[in-house]
Amino acid sequence: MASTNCWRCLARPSQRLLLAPVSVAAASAPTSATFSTSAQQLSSKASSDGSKHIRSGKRLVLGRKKRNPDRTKPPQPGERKAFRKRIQLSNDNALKVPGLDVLSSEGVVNPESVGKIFGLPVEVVDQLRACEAFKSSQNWSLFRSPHTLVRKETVDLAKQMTDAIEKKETLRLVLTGNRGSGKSILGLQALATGFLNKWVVINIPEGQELTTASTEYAPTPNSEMFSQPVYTVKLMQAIHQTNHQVLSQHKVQLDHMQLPISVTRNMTLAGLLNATKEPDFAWPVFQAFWKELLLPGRPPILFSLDGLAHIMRISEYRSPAFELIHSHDLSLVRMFTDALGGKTAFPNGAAILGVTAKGNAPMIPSMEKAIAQAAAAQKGEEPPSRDPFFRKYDERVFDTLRGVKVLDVRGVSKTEARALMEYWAASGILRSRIDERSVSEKWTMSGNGVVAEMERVVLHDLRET
Amino acid sequence: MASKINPWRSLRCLAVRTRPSRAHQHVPTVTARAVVPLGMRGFADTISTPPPTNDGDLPPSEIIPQPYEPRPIEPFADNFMNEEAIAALEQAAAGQDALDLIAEGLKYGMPKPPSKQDQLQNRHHPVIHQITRMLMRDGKLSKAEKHVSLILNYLRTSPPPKISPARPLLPGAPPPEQLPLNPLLYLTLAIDSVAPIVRVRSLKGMAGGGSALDVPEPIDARARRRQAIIWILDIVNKKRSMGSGRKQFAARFGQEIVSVVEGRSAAWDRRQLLHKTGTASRANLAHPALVGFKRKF
Amino acid sequence: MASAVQSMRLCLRAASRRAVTPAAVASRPRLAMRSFSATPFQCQPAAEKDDLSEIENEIEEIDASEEIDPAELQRALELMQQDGDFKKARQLQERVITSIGSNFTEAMRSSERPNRFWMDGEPDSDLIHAETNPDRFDEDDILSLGHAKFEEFREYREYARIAAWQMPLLSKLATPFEAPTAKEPLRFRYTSYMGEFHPAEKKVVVEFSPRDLPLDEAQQQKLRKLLGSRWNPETDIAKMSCEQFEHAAQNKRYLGDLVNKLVAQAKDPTDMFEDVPLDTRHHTFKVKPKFPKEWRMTEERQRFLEDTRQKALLLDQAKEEEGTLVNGAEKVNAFFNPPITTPKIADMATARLSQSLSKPPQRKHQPLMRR
Repeated sequence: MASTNCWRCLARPSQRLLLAPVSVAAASAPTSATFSTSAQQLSSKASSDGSKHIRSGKRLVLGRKKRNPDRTKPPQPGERKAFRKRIQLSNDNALKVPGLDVLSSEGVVNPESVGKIFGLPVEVVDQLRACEAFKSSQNWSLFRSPHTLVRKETVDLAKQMTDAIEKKETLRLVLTGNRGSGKSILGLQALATGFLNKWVVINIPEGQELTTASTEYAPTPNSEMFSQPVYTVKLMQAIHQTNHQVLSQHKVQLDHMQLPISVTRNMTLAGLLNATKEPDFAWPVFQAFWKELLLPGRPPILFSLDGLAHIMRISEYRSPAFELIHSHDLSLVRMFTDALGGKTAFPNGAAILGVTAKGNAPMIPSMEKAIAQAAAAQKGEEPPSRDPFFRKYDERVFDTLRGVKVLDVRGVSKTEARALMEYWAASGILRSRIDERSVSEKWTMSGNGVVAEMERVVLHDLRET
Repeated sequence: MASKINPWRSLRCLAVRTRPSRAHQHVPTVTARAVVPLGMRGFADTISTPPPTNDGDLPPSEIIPQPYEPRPIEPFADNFMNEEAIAALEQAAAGQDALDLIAEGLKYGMPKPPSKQDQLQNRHHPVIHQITRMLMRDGKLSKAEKHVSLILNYLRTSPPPKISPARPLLPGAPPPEQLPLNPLLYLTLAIDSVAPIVRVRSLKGMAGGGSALDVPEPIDARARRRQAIIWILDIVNKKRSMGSGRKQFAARFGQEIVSVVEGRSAAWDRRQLLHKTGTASRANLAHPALVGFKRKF
Repeated sequence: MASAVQSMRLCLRAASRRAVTPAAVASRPRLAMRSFSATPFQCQPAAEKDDLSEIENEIEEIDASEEIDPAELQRALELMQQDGDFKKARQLQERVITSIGSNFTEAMRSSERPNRFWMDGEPDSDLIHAETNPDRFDEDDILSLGHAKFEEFREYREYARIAAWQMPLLSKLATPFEAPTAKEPLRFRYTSYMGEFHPAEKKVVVEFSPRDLPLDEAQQQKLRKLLGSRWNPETDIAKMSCEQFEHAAQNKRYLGDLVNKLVAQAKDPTDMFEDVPLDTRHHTFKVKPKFPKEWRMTEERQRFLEDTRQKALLLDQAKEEEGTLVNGAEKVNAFFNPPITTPKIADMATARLSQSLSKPPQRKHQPLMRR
């Protein structure tokens, strides 16, 4: 009864009379629960005997198109993504193409190798695979082993990189070009050049992975920036795997007292990279590694990033104040943009490559304008002015891309196209006679030799087989 | 095979003209107007007329505009302009190239007309064409073409099939090791092998008493392929996707093609069932109702 | 005298009225008034029956008083004599004249307001109302439809006459075109709806190019910035319109003032708007692709093309002879059916192998075609 009183106290005075006095006896009566997950009706029915008529024969099924459930095993977690990301670099059906050279550090810069197909060395293929330079959208799986066409742009880029690094300068370069013109492949060739020349190669395969809020992030203490620990661990593993040979020859020179792990002087740089797999310690260790790399006497660096547009915009991460974070406030991205913008000094020479993508890329007017200005400055022309009525220009993007070199990738020339088609035919993928007429036809059909279009035109056009 | 005595080529240049087209009677009167740069209006008292930019194209401006003379009404002319075309027709009828005559007036000769296969609509192999159209959903042809490309790439990269003796392929098929390097042949072989050779039509009420009469009838290659593709697509659509991304449909379709060639596909059962029905209903071809039915037409 | 005035008025009224129409057509109202017509104005509605009878009555009255009463004449003469200065006569004359004028204007004025937009709300004058009582038809006339048809033909012929006789006279009024001089940089456009009332009739549009105005480069640029979206950057012509006032002349005045104000502001050196960029966002520059000049077929290009084709052929030929021309199908064939390398056999043996050791057995069923 005490509880009743209590409820009465809480009720409004006007409603107090309406509240029926709760009797204890009523609670003991068998009532149904006020909240229950089981159906009451069913439970009572179950007790009754089978006096009710049970309908025999067909039962009415509403929704006639009821598919019988798939009895096959559903895919394991991660299997679908693995299918999407799988990279196959050899095809046992394809014919072996004899008489092709293997890419070497001299061959890349040799102007005579323009328009020839080169095989990639096995160890370089492993390194490229480890740093995710191959993409699943590229048709590596059609051929027996990975080969690339050395284009005029390839030799040009390799020459620029080697020249800059020989002079211990920094080459800051952005690769642009139309969709499917081979920018990513050119970036891959640059990475291969780096591996062949024993540089320290750091590759961020997708700028998108850093800014679409798909990996974890944490604020860096004593700064307004944010680190991405899990991605950093992955990147450190990749760097360790690909550059083990170079990094194991250099030892730690600085004292890293502030690091959460103990770093001794007789530790190699590779050891430093491999010292921790703990995401919490990843960013400080990576920073220490970066500092060590920038000391004089270290090997030159090739730092490359694909999908430049994604790191030139406001990311999808939120700060503690629930404001969107600019991509350049992510510390890993900041490391790249500082390098590309020329803020970081590389005493041993470096090549910083930004590869734009056209397939899956947001429209960044600031980046487009900055690249156009850089290209005009490179040609010695009047740089195009900004649109005075556009408000959303991003000054940080302009700072990053000020003074970079621009390499505009276009379609391949006809001789290069012929070499490519001959390679396809010799692999047995293309079953037609490769003469000037067919080459020039396909070259024209693909918008003056845009490689992806050429692939599409050639590999789909099967009439003459 | 287009016959050479095709009248349409030469008929194309048949002209229907009411008047003989003769040389221009009137000297084109070009009014002497100063060429004014864009954005400025030509005024009557503009002193500085810039020199004409196009040299030699325009006649000099001294030509005095001639007074207007009404053109005399011309009588309705004979259609003698068609003589050329008629001559070309006759030449074509004689089995020679009708284009020779037409090319006479051209500066650089007649370009070679594209052959039938060079034309845009016919640029793909018929099987590829048919599969592309059947894969197409919502009119997205380019997406369907991409799928077909990926299917062909799947066939190129998949290991050579192991052909089971229980399900023989078409006679004359190359050994299976050669198939992956000829994906079109692979695809065509799979589709043509599993394609039914008859269609069983069920004629309503023909058997008497309201029951249907099943009648087998032969079908042409295109319809056979269509049926086979429908079966394969049915199976593919019911199959669980084990991957994601743009290649997953192509992988499913490619797997089904491989399993057809290897004799594991359920499409073979459907084919067998259809052939059984066709064989059983063969007797119906002599059904009096059908004979009468045929005679009616 | 009053009767004279009366008769004058009547004459005018009769003149302003249409000829007596047959009864069958009487109900058909007159045609709508046209802005351009060679026929006299027919302004009053068709005479109704009571009106007609009224006129007849009046005519009868006049006819009745046709004979001049000598006594009345006498009285009038006396009056004239009394009035030495012909004062009264003059007053009378004036009165007559004014009444004539008022009668005349009254007769000439149209009874309806023509200034109505699209003539809406008025009865359709071309419509034939079949209101005639069929009982009243006297069998002495064609039907009203026939009359309408005649009327139509008359109208056609009327216009044909105009076209034949009056239109050529218009050429006399033609004035030769004089191109505007540099003193006249403004081009005004007016709209005429050929005498019909239209709300857009008052609109005036002015076009000018800042380059034609007496301004230097900086001032012109400032003027372009001031003009904003009225300036077309492709043609460098500004276009402004005004229809806020009732009459075209007022609108034109306003536009002229506006241009003057703009020019004055452009000349004002206090702020030349150098920090403001020229805004062309309102205009889309359309690029019309043209056939490239380099693609035109010339003898040279023809020769060049021939040469390149020849070179390509030669290159292919050289490659074929060299054995480096790649053919995909052949490569695949060669891979799957490798050429059988026969082991070296001595010449003698091959010679023996090539000839069969014994004669082939004769086939039993020889074709017995030769009979």
